Amino acid sequence: MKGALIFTWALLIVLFLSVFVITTVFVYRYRITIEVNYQYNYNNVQLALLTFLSSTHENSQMSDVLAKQISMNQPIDEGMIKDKLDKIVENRCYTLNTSGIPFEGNNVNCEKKYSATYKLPYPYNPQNITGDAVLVIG
Amino acid sequence: MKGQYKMLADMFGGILVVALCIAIFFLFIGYYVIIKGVIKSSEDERKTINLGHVLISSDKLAYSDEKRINRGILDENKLEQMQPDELFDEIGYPNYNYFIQVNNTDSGKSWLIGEKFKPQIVKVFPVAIKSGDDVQVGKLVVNLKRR
Repeated sequence: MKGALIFTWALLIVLFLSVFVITTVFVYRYRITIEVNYQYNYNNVQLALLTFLSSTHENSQMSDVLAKQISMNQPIDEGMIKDKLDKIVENRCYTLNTSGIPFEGNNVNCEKKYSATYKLPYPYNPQNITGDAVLVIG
Repeated sequence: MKGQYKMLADMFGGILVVALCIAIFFLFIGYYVIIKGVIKSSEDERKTINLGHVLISSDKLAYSDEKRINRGILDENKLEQMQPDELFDEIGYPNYNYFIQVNNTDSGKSWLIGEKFKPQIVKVFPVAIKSGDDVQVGKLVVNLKRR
């Protein structure tokens, strides 16, 4: 009887410790992975937007091209913008929103989203001197 | 007979206590080793991310005029003339090896800086690449492993 009691206690203690160890290791790993991934993805969206706006089209920077076309109400070359973004973002889903004009990638429905914003200075438009370029990547 | 049972029960009890102590000891050793492993792998990932950011901001790779270094815009001329040892002497972590690959996704050109090996951590960073007057889009891949 006494042996059975000790055995039960021992089993319970080992079980409790095992559950404690396994749970904390998984929680710890999950938390660290989430933190590192967030940092990496957040930085990469900023870099992707920076890359897109720094790249050139017909000898003008994309930031200037977008700012001019939006402030002068000119049609925007959607194909060229999507082509550039597809190359930068690759297979991930994305949306670029420049002053309410959205450009979306092929894969739009994504769960986790990271965003970056840049203020575009608009020339020739005294009422609205800046506008936001917001890139959201999944 | 009763005395024999008592002795047997005490023996089993003693064996169980010793087994329990050994199990707890190994459980905590395992716990320590696994936690240490998690910290080390996350440290490696963080180091790869930091290295990527240092590289894209460095005068060794990034395009710079007389006034400033353009972060995130790599210079094609610098990539062409890059001496890997010079870069690794200046930028890197002790006890880590790394090599980088730069791909210009617009032109299809690519550069390998350093000797290739099987990396532990691989991180990709979107970058712009200045080629003449054009600025094209591309990516920088940092491959890292512990020595």
